[in-house]
Amino acid sequence: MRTVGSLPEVWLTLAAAAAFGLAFAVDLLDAWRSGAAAAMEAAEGPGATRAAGWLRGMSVASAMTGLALLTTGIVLRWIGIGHPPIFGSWENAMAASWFLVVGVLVASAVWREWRFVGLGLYPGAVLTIVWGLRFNTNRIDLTISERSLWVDLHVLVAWSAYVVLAMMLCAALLSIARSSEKKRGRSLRLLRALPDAGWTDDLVAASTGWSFVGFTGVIVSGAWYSYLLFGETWRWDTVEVLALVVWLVLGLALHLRLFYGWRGARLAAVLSFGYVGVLAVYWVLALVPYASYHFFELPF
Amino acid sequence: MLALAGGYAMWVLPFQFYGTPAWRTRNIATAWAFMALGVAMLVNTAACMVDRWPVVLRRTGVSMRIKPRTTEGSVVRSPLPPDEARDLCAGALGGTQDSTSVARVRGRFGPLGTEVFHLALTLLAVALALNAGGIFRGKVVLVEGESFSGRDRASYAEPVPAELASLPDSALPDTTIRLVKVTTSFWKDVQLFNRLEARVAVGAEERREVLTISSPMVVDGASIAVDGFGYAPQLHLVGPDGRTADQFLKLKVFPPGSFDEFDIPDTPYRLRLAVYPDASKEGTGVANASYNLVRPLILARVEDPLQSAGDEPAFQGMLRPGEKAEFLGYTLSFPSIRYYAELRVIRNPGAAWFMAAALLATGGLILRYGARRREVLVIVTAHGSGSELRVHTAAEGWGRSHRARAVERVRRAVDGQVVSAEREGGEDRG
Repeated sequence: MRTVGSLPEVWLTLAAAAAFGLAFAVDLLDAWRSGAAAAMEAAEGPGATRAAGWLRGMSVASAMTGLALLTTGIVLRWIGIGHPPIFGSWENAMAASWFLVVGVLVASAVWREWRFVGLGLYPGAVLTIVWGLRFNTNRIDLTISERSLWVDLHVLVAWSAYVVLAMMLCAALLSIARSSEKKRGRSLRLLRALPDAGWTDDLVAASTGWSFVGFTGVIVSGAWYSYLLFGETWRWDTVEVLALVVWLVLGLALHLRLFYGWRGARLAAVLSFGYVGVLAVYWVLALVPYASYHFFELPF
Repeated sequence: MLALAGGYAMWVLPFQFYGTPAWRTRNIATAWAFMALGVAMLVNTAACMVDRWPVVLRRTGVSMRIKPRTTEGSVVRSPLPPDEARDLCAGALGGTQDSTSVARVRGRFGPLGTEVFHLALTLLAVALALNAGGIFRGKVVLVEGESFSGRDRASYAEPVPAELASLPDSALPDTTIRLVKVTTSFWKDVQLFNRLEARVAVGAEERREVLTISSPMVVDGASIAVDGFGYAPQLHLVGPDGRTADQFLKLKVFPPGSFDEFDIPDTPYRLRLAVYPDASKEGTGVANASYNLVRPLILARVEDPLQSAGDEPAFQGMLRPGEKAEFLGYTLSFPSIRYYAELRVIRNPGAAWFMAAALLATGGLILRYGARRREVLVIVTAHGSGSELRVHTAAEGWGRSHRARAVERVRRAVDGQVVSAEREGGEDRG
């Protein structure tokens, strides 16, 4: 039974989604306006002109407001049901969007070259929340198999890796756009203030490396919990197998870059292919009841 | 690697989405073609590790790999005199300085991370090889108060006796376990367990442990956890001749109200039983409020197997624990109901190797990417009344970020201006 109207966290999350949408719109406008100042970017590094802009401040303020609303929603739900948001697609959507927005704010505060990532991750957070609304939003207690700090750790690592993977996708898509510009011989105004091809290659390399680290952590923490739960570290479960495929694709991309000199659109295409698997691991398998023991959609 | 990823994508995933059981996936993945590919990858990995070892060792050296003559470097101009600029620069970078330059090397041992990671893959292969020898999976069902001995094959409900008989003693844990108490609860009135604990006493010293589904204990190399429970009413039957039958009957829990059948010892009768754990009688029916053992009600039916299907049973009725019923000179009662627990006993010879490999792999990657080798060399020369600092950098991976930060740090330290930013080069293969 859907009880969207009776749960405050649902409304708080929807309000947060609106704030994230506004942050995206402002970022988009900022990138559009900054396009003309691309020359300055080229001289001083990406984000240089946008750093001083009032639009940037407005985007951050909007995202922070949304994050505060979402955090309040998560805390209310946590207190109400007694466990962190790890059970079912709605809770996963809340957690994922929280991590995505924190990822944008932290990355763009610490590394100037990653400021563009809000253009991908803010809409990602909004879509994630909309996706989550398709599922049961009721508060459901944790079943015995999920009652462990190791599960909490596994989920924490999984969402952290998810943010880095999403950043990797943004860098990969930007890399494809840069290659396309090079082929056509002209650049899009919207992209002018974003990192150039050289920087993009840097960002792809860094995010792929850290995605591989993060996804290894996801598999390792999952394997350990599988051992605790079933006495076996590997069970050929659907999600496990698909995660292995994603891990292999990431490893493949790293080797292609290091040993075969793959750069630009070719490498980005491999990474984008890998990201399809990421989406399947995290979201799509929730639509296939009982295909995996990672299925947490309960009909209560 | 491409073949492996592609093979999995093509063969495994389509089956998976149609609900293929895990054993089929395992069979596909352990088919000879995949095994051969795995062995080839392992050999390849080992060969690469040996081949690259001298390179890795060289990369961990203290000497700088930056060649100032071959890179242009970024230029920062400062109003400060060279000596002062050099001091400030060395302080900001945390590097060492000589009369003309400041140098800093970080992440010397980062390159070892790659080797550690690939070594972990070799350990993983050992784990898989050990597991290929067989994982022992056993199940023991104990009523509260009962004990089992790990090497007593008759104690096991699974696997089948023939398989148990073929196992050496060393495959079974050398311990005794007594089930003290099972605690269970469900959330609201639905089939969602939110608590299942088994308190056990282990060994001759009766060491107390609490097992849950995800917190096993490891005894003699075997992982033992609780992964199920049920209700066990105590059957007490007094026959016409005064002989008694007294035993605990282990019933299925799900679905509630499903019947289990037992032959009653020393009688011609068969007993069919169902337990409603939290029940109240409503007319001729039963209303069960939850799955918790709060107000158990036992539905008992005694049949003569030789009777026709339509014949009246010898007895049929609902009894609370302690209530008695009489039929054909027999007195039937269930003095108590206890929980029973299903314990899974698994001896997984490769688990320790797997986890060692996993930890090494993660640690190796963190070393590789978290402490990647980065070098900065700043050559300081006089420029008019001030100084010019030429910043050269090298890094194993994403060198632009490293260069941008190094230049920015130098610029701030000497209160200077970037007059020429290097845009290419300066990145090692990493």
